[in-house]
Amino acid sequence: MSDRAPSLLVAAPWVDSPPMAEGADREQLLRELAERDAEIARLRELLVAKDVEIGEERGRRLELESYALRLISYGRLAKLAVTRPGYVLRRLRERRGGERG
Amino acid sequence: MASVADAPRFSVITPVYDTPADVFWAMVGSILGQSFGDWELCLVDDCSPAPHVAALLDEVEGLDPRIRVSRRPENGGIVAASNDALAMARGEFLALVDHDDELHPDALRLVEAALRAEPEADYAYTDEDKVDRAGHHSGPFFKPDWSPERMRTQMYSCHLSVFRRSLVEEVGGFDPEFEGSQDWDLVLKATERARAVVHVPRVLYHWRMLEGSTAGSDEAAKPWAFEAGTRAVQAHLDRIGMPARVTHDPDDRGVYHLDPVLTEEPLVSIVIPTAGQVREVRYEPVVLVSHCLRSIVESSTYENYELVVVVDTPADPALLEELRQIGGERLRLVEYDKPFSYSDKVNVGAAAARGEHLLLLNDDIEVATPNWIERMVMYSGMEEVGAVGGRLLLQDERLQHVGVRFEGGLPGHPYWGFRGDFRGYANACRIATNCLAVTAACLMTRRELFEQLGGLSEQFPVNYNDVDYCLRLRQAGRRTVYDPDLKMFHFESSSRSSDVEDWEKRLFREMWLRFTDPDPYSNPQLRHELPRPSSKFSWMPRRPRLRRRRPPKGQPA
Repeated sequence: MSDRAPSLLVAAPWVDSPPMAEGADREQLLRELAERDAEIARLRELLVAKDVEIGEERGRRLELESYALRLISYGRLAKLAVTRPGYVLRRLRERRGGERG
Repeated sequence: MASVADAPRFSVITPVYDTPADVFWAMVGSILGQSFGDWELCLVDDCSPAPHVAALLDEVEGLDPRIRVSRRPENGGIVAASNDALAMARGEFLALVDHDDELHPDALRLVEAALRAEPEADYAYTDEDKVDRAGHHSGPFFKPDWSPERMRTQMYSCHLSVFRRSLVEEVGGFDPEFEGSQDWDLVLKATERARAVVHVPRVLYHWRMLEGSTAGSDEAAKPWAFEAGTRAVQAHLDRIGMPARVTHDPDDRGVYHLDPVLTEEPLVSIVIPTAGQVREVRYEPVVLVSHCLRSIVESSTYENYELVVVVDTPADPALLEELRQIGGERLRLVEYDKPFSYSDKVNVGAAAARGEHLLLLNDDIEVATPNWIERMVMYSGMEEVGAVGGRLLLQDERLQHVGVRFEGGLPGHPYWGFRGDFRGYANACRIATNCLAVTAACLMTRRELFEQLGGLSEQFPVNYNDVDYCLRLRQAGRRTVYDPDLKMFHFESSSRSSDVEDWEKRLFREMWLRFTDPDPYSNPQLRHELPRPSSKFSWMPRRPRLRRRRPPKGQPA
């Protein structure tokens, strides 16, 4: 049994299509259908592989974004250290407290 | 032999071998400069061939009465020298310091404070960083609180390690069989018996990067040390009776993997709540639960499991028939006719389950690791472990779940969306570790525990029920484990909205804030599991005096 959703099959108007051609035409059509199915499967595999490739790039981009944000944060901290050293030192002390609840 | 009253609080034990003079003095100076003075330094020269070492030791011996020196007549390796130093030591606690490393000026004082706060502590460790010969600091390692599972796949506590001396003597000191990883072996042996372990989340140890040292080079520097590490962990697994075999990652230094070697296969009940939804998975519309079941049946190598599928009624008869065809005799269908509540649905499924272990699984999961059930049983079978989860990947193989972390008392997925092979901070994604919670999209727990705790809480019908369950397990003294080698695909949020309601957040924080903030398996210096920018300053003295003092009144600036 196909794992397609039953609702999709019911909704498809071409399910009740007329019978396929007889004889040599039938064989030809079946062969063409099989070839087309194989081609669809091949293309789907290509798409999935492409997805993974793009996923890796997207993941790397997210990682870089995260590093960039931290770098910006670092810059802000450096600026604050110059303009408001007391505030920064207080925050650092709090941070390095490391209390556990 | 001095009396107990005369014994110092800490014995710093340091084997010496061909130490360059500058780093030796830096090490000795860092001990002499400690803000806590009740210590002794036990130096053991392992018959260094370099002629300057003898002169150095002669000089340092007369420097302070707390410095004691012993000279071995022949070279015996680091284990023999460490054991000699151990025999010299009189202190209540032993601090292991290498001959070329440095301690933070407050190291012993802060460790002392932590040990005083936890009188039962038999082992303490601190955060560390690396320092080059010129004194430049880098690579801080901010560690989690005590994580036994992590310790089996990564020697993460490393420096500074402080042991109760009586415990070290009880386990027989350093074992020459594990030369190179003798410290890891000692930590494993000691923590098997320790009453409590303390972590001081401050960078108090500076590990010197020198050519040829483990800190300063790649794995090629000491390959035998990593081999010894494998043997030390295997010996530990055999001692505690964990059915696993350890292997050393060939590509990644410091990463070890555990593979299950089960002697028996208890019945596992895989509970899958479903609404029979359809979704496009890899460009093909599929019924999620059928796809999930098929992947379990076709991929799993574990034999003894049952499938408990909880379906909403009225269920599509064609779907039920399909599930029966896939699941065969393993399948048990449970009908659910109440309004949607994930917690209740899982509890109903668990009530129908017969297995010793419950494996809660979302219907949008696809199995990617054939021995996934074995891996989970390996951990779940341990008495102290409450729940086990794995590494979940999105459809495009990016990270979805590597264990839940908490910030501000609320749970989140660190590294979500990062590429699948992302290592995480200090290899966090690649090593087995403890966390406060794992997602119920793929979670194994013992049925006995599940029943004792009353299953998933119906206070959280949609979100946070899994996290709440794991936290209740922790309250009951059980650990939650993340296994990185258990990979599954999770076609996330295909079944419902991922939005968390405000009332859920409020209620969760009210209930759990004091357990989850701060997250003990993270570190105050980490944010989103990556070092905070301000952590770069963590090596600074405790009270830096950068502020310019104002001149007294009446005086010119």
